[in-house]
Amino acid sequence: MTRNEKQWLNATPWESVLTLNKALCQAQKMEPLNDSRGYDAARRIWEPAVNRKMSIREAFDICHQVYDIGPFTFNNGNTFAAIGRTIVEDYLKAAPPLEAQILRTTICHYVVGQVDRKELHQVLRHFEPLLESLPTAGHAPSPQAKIGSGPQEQSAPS
Amino acid sequence: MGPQILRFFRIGIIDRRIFLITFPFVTHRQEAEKFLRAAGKAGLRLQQNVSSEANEGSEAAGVRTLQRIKASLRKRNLNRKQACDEK
Repeated sequence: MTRNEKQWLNATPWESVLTLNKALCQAQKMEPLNDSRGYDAARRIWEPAVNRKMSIREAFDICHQVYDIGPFTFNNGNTFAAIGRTIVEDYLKAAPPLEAQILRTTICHYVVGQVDRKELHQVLRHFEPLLESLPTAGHAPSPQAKIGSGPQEQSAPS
Repeated sequence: MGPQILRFFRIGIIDRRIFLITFPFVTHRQEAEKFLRAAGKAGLRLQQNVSSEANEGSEAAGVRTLQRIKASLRKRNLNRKQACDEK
């Protein structure tokens, strides 16, 4: 998993990021506002990354980078930490709960800048044999889902 | 709006009879919706953690995670011990 280059952010187009932030703000009865300076910059980083093949570390880097820019007024941390964590969730379903929790926590902390890159890499390296041995439990994009570049209508083959 | 299920269609002719065979598959949109639901749940859980930590003071943040890990380790060791004893 850690060595695989994949479209890790494929299931999270920018619109989904907005929807997620909106939902989290509404849960706290807050107005989902965007930060005028950070919004465009964050979007410019996120959108090309959605369809790009990259390592899992790079995907976490993008979550962290965009969190740092702060496209929203509220819940930047929760939004991008939740995305980072959900990317690997299906892999972690098959992992022992303790290891899974350590990884989840480390990923969330890395995205919001409470853990540095070196620490994240150490943790990922430590769990590499475990993660490589785990079956993907469904989230990994299906072959059909990989076809095409976005959430577009698919037509029947001729 | 619910997830949109799209299908591949194939027409097959077997013994002069025409069959319409459909192959349902997970669309990219379904994948994205599933991800969004999971991320929403994770985000809400993170919010709850943050708010409960705010009520209990900032020191509680790591302490509770460590306690959880410690409890889990203890449970695992206990299970291993029991398994060894049974053997």
